[in-house]
Amino acid sequence: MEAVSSAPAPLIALVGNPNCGKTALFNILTGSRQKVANYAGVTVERKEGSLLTPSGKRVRILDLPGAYSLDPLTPDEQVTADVLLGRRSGESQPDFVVCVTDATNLRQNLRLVLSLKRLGLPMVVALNMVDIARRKGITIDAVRLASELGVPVVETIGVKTAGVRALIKMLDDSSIPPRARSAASWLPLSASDIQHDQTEVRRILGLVGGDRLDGVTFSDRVDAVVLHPLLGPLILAAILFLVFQAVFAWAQVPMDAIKFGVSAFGNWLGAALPSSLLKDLLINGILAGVGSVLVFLPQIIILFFFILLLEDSGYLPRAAFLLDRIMGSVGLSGRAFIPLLSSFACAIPGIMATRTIQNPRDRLATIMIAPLMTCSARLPVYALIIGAFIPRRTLAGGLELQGVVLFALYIIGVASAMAVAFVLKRSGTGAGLQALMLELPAYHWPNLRNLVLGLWQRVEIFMSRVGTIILALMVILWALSSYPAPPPGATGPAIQYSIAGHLGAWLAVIFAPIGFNWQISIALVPGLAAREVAVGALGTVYALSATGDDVSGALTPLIAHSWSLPTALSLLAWYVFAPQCLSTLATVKRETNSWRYPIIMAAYMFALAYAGSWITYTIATALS
Amino acid sequence: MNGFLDGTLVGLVLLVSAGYAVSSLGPRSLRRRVLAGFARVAARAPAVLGLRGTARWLAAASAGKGQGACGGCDGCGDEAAAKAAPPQQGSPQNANASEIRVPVDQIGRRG
Amino acid sequence: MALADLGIGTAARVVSVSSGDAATPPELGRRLAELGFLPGEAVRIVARGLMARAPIAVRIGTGTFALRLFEAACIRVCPEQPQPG
Repeated sequence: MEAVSSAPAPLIALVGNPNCGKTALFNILTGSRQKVANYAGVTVERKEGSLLTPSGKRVRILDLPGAYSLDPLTPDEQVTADVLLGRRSGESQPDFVVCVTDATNLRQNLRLVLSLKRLGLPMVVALNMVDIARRKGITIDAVRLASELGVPVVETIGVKTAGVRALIKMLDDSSIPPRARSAASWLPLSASDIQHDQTEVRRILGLVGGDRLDGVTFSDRVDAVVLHPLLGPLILAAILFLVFQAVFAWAQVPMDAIKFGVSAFGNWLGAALPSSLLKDLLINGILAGVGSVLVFLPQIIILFFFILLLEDSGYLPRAAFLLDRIMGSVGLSGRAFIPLLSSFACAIPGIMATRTIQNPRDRLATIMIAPLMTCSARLPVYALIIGAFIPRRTLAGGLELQGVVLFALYIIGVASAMAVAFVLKRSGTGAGLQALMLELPAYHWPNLRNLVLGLWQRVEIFMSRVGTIILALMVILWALSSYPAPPPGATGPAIQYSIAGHLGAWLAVIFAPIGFNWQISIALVPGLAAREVAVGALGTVYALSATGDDVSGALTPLIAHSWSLPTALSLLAWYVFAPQCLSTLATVKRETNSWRYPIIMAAYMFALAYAGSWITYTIATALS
Repeated sequence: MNGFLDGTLVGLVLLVSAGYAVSSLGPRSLRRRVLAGFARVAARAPAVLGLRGTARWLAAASAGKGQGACGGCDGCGDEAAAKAAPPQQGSPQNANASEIRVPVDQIGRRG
Repeated sequence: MALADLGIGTAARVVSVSSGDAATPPELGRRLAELGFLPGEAVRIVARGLMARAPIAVRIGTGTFALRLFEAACIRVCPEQPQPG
């Protein structure tokens, strides 16, 4: 019975090796939607959720970063070790531990179980992924295992609600005692300790089953092709090409539908509302601005569909394997691949994922280059300019020119990141030898539920960005662009007399050498909050400059008409480098605990952006 | 439409937008002050406008962590902490509990 | 022999794991042990990279890991003798 007291609910920690399905288990238990991916380094912080058991008890569940050992090597393992040992200030030691193990990989997981036993915390072992084990013909005697370990063992299938009932029942039944506060002491294991543990593990596995050493598995057969020295990189390139082609080709119909909807709505509003300030705000401020960004939702969904597909299937560590040689040559740790890859979605989780990198200087180098990886917020800007200036032409081999240009932009982002890493390495910021030691988990069919859930999350994030910060900034921009009103008898669009117009004119002086007109210059300012806001800002600014009743959707032909090709290319180059995201800089400040690094990052990226734009503009003007 | 109502509505939208932009983009102390300021204003508004709930919500937001302009993914744990911890509201260790910062120079040091 | 010298697919057993030479960090040997590279464990190379210094994918026990060459240099193995008869 839940006592009506003010004591906090018992804290249960989920611990285990990476890739054993801990986070999926956490999601099912707490109903939360933490990101699940099939490689190490995703859970970088402790995440808490709560569970109401059938008997009405409420327990708090903690998902700790995956660790191979309680002797930490990387910052995220440090978090796990510290939390378990109660060493974190402001963080209570867990009352109960659930050690999650992969039934298909007990040989590796049981050592951690033995280490955890030494801590003396009440614990239970969750034998996860038993469904996969059974399919492989591995049967494990859970009862025998429990008696050998001296700790309760419960079978779980972390991706099904039915699969966790036994665990929930066990948590319900165990009277989790108010923890006897004995100081947890932990001595690092020596080599002979580890050896001794392994002997014990072998002995237990012999009695319990699960010691089957597979011959050539399905994953091996796939890897024979995927990791093949020649075929492997070709497959990787083909996959990437496919993704970028799809982003343009598949998105056409939904994008046109959204454009149509927005402009129809705008026309209806234009006819239905009497002329007023509010109407102007709604149509030229909000609809023009937000509508311009909304149009790119289908492309973002398609991009993330592929990212999630690759993540869930387990392909990504293989890509890290194939690219490791290149990463090593610029002084990056092999473990930098995952954080850098996460940065393609958004640099913020990517920067946080660098906690899996052991060496501080190596981690810093990765943090400094992560924003150069083309994040998903740049996509609307790229898509807008490519859509307006790159003709839809099919090249040899069935490749669409627009997709190729987008691919090229992504490659330039990656190449510039590599170049900066190389410079950092040369200037001595890089560390010495960095280990890779990346686990290649077994492939598995992407879980449809995970995929849909992940995509939906992305849609929510996008819509929430659009509906909050983008909307707010568009309103402010509209106000700044409408006041003060032009003096009577003025020629030219009203916006030029407003605050925004004047500001744009000043900024245009700075940006004239790289070909930005005052509209672009103005749009870059709110773009500091979120990169895709620049698209919305352009929508609003051009809507206010327009003399007709045009609404968004007409932005593409508008800029195609009024910008020159060199200007467009120059803006593309700007966006490859420019550090236009305050949230990212704030994250860097938090992760490095100083102002120095975000300032250095902003400075070097602005310098690169200006230089890149200037070179592009000059060359493009000379060639045209 | 009545010109005065028109202007007031637009002004209100503008004020809320500006408040939101400042609160999500600015440093945390500023964010707290802005949200707390809005909460006070909403609390003192005439009851007929039905802003009590809003005032409470704003007060809670100013005390809690809030979310930046990034739109919120599960990367920072902000969203997760907000969703998962309602029963623990007010428990002091939860306010800073959802995130552990590991400064660069502390990495690799044990004990 | 060194792990890196094994042919692809040849079954072998780990003989010893050391921390290599002075250039490698001391934790490396210990971390390899924690991952399962312990004397007596079955080991086999699953794949190699294209170029000379590329990493290798190694099956140890039931898990597979990608190791750079200097990490693999810490591990010494002995190929399994083919069964007679």
